[in-house]
Amino acid sequence: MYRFIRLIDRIIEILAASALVVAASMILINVFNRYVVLGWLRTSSETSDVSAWFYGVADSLLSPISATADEVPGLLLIWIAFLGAYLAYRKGGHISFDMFVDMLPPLLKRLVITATESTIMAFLLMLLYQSIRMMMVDGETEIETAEIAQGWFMLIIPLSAGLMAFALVIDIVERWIDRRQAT
Amino acid sequence: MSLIVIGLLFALIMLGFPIGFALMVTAAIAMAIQGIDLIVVPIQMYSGTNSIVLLAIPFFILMGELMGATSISERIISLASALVGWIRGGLSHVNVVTSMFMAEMSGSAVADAAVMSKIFVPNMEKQGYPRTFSAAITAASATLGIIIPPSIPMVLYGVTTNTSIKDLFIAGIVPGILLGGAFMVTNYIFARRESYPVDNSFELPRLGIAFKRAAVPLLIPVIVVGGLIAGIVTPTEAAAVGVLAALVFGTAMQKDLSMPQVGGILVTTVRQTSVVMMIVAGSAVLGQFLANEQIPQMIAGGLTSLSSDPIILTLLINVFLLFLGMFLHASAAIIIVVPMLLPVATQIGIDPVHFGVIVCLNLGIGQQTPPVASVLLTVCSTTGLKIEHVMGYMKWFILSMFVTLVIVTFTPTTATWFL
Repeated sequence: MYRFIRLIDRIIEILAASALVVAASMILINVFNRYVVLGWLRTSSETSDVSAWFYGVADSLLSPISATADEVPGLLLIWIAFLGAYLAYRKGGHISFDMFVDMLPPLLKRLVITATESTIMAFLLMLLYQSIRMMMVDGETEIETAEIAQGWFMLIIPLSAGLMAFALVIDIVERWIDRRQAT
Repeated sequence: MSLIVIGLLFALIMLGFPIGFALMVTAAIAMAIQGIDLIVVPIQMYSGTNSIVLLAIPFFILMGELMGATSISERIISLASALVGWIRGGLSHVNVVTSMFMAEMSGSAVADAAVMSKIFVPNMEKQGYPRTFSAAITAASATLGIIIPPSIPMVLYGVTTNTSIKDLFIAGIVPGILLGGAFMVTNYIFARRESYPVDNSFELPRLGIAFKRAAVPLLIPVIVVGGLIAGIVTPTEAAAVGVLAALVFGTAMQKDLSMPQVGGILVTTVRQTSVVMMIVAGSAVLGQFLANEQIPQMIAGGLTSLSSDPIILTLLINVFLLFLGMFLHASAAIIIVVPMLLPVATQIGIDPVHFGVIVCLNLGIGQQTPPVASVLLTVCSTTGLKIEHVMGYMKWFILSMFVTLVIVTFTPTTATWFL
């Protein structure tokens, strides 16, 4: 079971890191295209055949990416944020105010944390359902700069809601069954 | 209904809900009570987090993480030591100046505090500084991370209020230097009173060598902020260029960074980003509900009904922000509350850019004041100290932050000088 959970964590880490790298690369390509290809290379292509060839190749390669670079990286941020939210749940990284809960006796503390996590789980299950509805209503609409359906970017919300609910179940089970890990 | 919502949010935060989820759950419950279709929740989360400008946040975090993993902190500490180490209480001044330099590479006070407390607190203790004083100055100086550009709260403020992020970054420079100066004055007073040592004597050649070693890494934030100020790149592009420069510096020039390390840094960045972005998502949902309930108008009306005097209103806004900062995370406060206060601020003649700096300073103080005190808690957890022990010194640094806040609030040119 633990090996399976670690595998999921690893897959999510790779997906999230890849989304970040792709978003950064698209932004950098856009800057490069604007100043080097459309600026310097285009100007020098008017006087040199070699530059004109380089300009033609670079323009045909980078322009399609550049055209979507004002929209797709922003949409990838949703993937980064929601995949990261699952990872933060697994590693206890979300910001919370624990001072009062920490002052409670161990059993009461465990009960309060379980109640908190159960409430969040209920919210996440509601989010899972409502985000699927959202995808059914609006998922097929294409983004403005490419023929990509919005649903591909929306997909991460139900996916991460399900993953976070899964992470919470593991947490609750560990808290009550394996008391060594109880916090 | 408004009071129930605020009460519920407060209760959930006190019960230990992650702040982003406390905002989401509160909004969902309030919407369910009012019979609003809950499909609005994912729609608001989707539209609230889908932003090319907000993408600057993970990039600035990544740039800071990459720079932090290289030998840059050691180089900057050497430079700061050569610059101010000769003043009485040398290492505490080096702490402040290092934070000022590091603030140029990271937009987060919590991240700065986590790194700086591990470096400075043990070294200051070795030189005879009380551990509590070392922790207090480290936590206080980390606030510079959100005032001196780049600053994540300023990016959020810019996105929320449609204010130029470039102008906000420029406006943060002088208040950041003022705040650093205020910390150094407080340091000096304690150094005289408690006979703290000097770190070293002033030597021009040493300063020259230290400057040469730190020049390239210091050039990276200069390129980033310079490119932004010159209008060559947008904030997101500037941050991405900073990431590339930090990566080239760390891997090709210094060979401090290996690929597995970079992989680990990417994952850390994603996690840290999500913490802010979940608060953004939650604030987007709750903010929409509050806007539907016309709560911004009610708060604005309530404030203006108390007084029509601009000075009194300015003070009231500051007190409100300070109080808010004690209980709410800076990101949530900016997205939910600032749209309510900005109309009042502009009505009494405060420039939106100037107001952005005032907001960041207030929330910076909130990060140091319990119960939330995210920066102070970070330093306390790293050093194993209790908040109440650190507060003995911390209150004086908070006072110096108040003084800076008052100066910046009532002297708008401190923020708008270079605009």
